Amino acid sequence: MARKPKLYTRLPGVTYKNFGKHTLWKGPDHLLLMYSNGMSEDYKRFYYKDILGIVTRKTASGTVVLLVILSLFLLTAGFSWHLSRLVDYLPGAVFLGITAAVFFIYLIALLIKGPSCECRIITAVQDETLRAVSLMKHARKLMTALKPLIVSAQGSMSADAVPQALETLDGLKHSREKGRTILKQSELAGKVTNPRIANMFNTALHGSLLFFAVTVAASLSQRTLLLVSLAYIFLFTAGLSSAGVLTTQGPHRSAPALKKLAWTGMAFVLAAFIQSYGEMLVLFMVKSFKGQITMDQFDMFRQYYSLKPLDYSVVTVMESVKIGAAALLGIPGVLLTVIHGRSHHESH
Amino acid sequence: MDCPRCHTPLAPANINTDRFERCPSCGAHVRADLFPAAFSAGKKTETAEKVIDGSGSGCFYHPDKKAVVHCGSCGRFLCALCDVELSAGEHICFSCLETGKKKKKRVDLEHHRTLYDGIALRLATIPLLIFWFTLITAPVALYMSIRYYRAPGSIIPRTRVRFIAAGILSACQIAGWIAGIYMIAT
Repeated sequence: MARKPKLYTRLPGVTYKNFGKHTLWKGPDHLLLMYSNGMSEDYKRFYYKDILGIVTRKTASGTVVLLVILSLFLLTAGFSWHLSRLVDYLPGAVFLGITAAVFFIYLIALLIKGPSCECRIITAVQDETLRAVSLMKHARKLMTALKPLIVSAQGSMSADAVPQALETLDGLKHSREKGRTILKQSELAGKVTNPRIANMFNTALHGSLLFFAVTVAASLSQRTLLLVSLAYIFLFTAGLSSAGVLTTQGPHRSAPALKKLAWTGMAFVLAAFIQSYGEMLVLFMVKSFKGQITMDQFDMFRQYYSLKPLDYSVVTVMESVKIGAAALLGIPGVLLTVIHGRSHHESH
Repeated sequence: MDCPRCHTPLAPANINTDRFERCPSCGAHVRADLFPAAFSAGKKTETAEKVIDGSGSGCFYHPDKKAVVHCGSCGRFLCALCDVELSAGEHICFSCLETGKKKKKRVDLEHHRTLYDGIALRLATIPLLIFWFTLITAPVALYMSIRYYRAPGSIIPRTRVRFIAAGILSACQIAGWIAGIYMIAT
């Protein structure tokens, strides 16, 4: 029996998102964008003759992930090395060492992957993000593979011909009008979601995170009710502010980076609360095993803040991770907020 | 063509350079490739001509409009308005387009497919974690592997190895259950 001819060949780029994977396939006369979750597939087709343009933008998300993983690797490796020198903490040192090795492998993988990007394909009726293409090297390979096919379907256009053609053809006018509409929409969105309020929330979020880092660092040596309470007030403020940022932020300049930071900030606040509550529960369980049962929440909190973190390596590691993460989020957040606020002020 | 970050129109000099250029407004590294179709996109679409003095055939859907092509599927004459040009110069009418989409007669019109092999394999493997579930899922997985073995799968190249694996695994699970029940009974 004759084998079916292959209709599609795989193009570079794959992204795992939303419990599935996004891939790109080269068809005889179209590009196939496929999302598959293993149980079903969704397709989008872009005919070579209909593709008006492809826009690729280098993004900073790859670098941000790289820096976060590098920090986590340094943190875990450092603590592992520190604990390995103490005889009683050898299992902890081995555990942290394995964790550091995992971070190191991930770090190498990220370095091999290279910088990240965002790729958009434009037709007369669609403006679609090619989610499968999230790396610069994949974007370059994709363009090398795709360009000859589009050129054979539409003909080529030199770089010199673009300015003249853009000036004379109606298509440009249409796109300009469209561009103006987009600008108007963003202005309207800016009015509805007042950038000043968004900026205020951003400042509160990142400022609270930085204050949280400082108070937690201070409570490492001098753990008092005031310091621990202050730390959790700052954490609570950060949580509320991140919700404020996400609800008020408009589609203005450099907003995506701040939005991502706000999401990360919110995740951090949740993780920190869960971790603290877990720590309190562990303390409660330990006390109950020893027969010192505490049913009063405030008493539990009092016992929690009266812990000396430096006496317990696990608490020290947890508190240090919290300080590091809060500082890592707070410092770039404050810088971005200042830059964003200044650029917004200049544009007005 | 706008910068994806700040939505400012890109400078013509920064388009089709085959390399990443800085957006003059926000400084983002952007590579923009523009193709000739962009220039025809804004032009007016073709309008259907009227039939004058009874000369020429009329459109099936608009009898007063001149037919320019016939539907490649049902053979009806179509005017420029009713003509839908598919890939490789194939012309069909809206009715055939809709029928082809509904009855999944045309692969190039499909935008969703269920992967029965993937479902069967998951049914045969994941419940193994809590093996009691396999009492129900194994027969279902076996049924799916047999029932949908010849059903259209993915439109991209894909073997039927998942069906075979799901069939073997679920058959083993059923055999295990039968053996277990038999041993308990005897």
